[in-house]
Amino acid sequence: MENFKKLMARYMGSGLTRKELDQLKESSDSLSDESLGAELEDIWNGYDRSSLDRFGGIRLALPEVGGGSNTRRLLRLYRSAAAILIPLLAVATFMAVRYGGKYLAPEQTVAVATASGERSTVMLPDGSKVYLNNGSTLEYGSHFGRKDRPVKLSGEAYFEVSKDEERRFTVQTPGLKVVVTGTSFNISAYEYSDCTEVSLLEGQVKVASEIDPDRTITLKPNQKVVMNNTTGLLALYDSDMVYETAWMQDELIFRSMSFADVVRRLEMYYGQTVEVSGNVSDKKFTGRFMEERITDVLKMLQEHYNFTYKVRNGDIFIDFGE
Amino acid sequence: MVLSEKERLHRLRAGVYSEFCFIHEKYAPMLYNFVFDLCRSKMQAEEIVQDVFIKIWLNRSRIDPDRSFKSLIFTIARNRFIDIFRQRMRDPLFGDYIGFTESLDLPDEPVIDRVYDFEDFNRRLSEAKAALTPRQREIFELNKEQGYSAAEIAAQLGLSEAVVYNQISAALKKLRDSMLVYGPLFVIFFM
Repeated sequence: MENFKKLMARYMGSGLTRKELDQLKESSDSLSDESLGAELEDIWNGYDRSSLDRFGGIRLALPEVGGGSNTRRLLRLYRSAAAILIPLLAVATFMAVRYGGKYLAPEQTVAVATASGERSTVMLPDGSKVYLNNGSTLEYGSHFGRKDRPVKLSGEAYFEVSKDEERRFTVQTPGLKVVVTGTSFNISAYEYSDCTEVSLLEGQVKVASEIDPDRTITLKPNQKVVMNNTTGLLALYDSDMVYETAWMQDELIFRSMSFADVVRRLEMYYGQTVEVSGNVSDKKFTGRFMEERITDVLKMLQEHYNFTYKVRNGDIFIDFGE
Repeated sequence: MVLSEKERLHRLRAGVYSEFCFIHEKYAPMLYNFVFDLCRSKMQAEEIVQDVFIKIWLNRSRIDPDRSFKSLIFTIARNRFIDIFRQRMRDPLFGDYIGFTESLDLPDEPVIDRVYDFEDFNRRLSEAKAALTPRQREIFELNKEQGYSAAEIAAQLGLSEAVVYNQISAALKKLRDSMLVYGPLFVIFFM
């Protein structure tokens, strides 16, 4: 270990000879990833070279991450939408002039999407707020707010809808349509899930299944409806809404969940890939995590399940063995 | 604005973009230097710096404000560091590259202020190899890149050991000549 430290200091500093490199190779080969990681951490902690002069004064560009606020992201979308709009308008105007009559400018769609491990807040043109959870997409058109307020959702979002009884606010998910008039509610409509859920906190919503449109349910506060995505069957439950909105408070709550579902939630929440192998236990898990790192969550899961795990390049490999 | 690192981390966690710019300005060059010193590749240094900072932003809601910027960077970059370092240690050509950089240095003057990029070295080597005859290239690669001894190569190709040695010498001389343009002063490489 001492030899390794000395050699690394030379390797990263004054330079190595060929012979020393061979020693360094041997030394590092015998180190586990854990030990090597610890050594590198020491070196990094003591490292202080900040000048880029030796590289000819190159400059490191800030990565494109969308600017941080949704306004910026939406502005970007509006800008590109505007770019499409102008030539289309030109065509439409031409058509209108030639053929007379009224025309309505073609509707542009705005979409906001979050990746796994990412969350976002969207402010709609009517002042309604939508909090998007990991891996979700919200879409609405430029006609939003004119006669009505339709949006499309896939994934999960918490809505705070401005009251406007004249312009119905509707949310379309792949299997469910939700009609509201000024309320706060949560919709969970992930494509990988067996069911879609609508949980109402305040106000009133009416929920209709796409598969069986005659089935509608009107929700009252602290009630939730769960729809089976395959059958379209709707079921109504009372709820204290703590579990359904936990994701907004950075809390991960699992209630009697299968290991596979737990893993999927973790993947979505942390934005990392989790692979599971071996004889997976069918024990269900109930637990609560707040602002932990994924490895902390895994360690706690190990108290309930018998598995080992490895982290490699940000991906996680869980093994239950035989 | 004069803020403590803890305050900045809180703000970064909340998604304040200017704090992201701040941490990038302060630490991206250090990370770049570190990665380069670790693997001698400008390309990989650039790639890793980009990836790490993107990951920092995307995972900002899970930042622990009680730790430091520096340790945050390490947490995210740790596995990449391990992988590229091991990759270099296992690369058969890396030894030659080190030998080459060693030969370029005067004994007591550190290499710190000069940059010899491993990928550059490989590229020039490939170009230089084009000047070899097919036979020379074959023997050179078997010896230098695959690690076979002259005796083993002789047996494998049905040649005498003497012939193999000669071919290796001739190949080295040609390579030396064409790599001459890479560095102003060098003595011998490919020992």
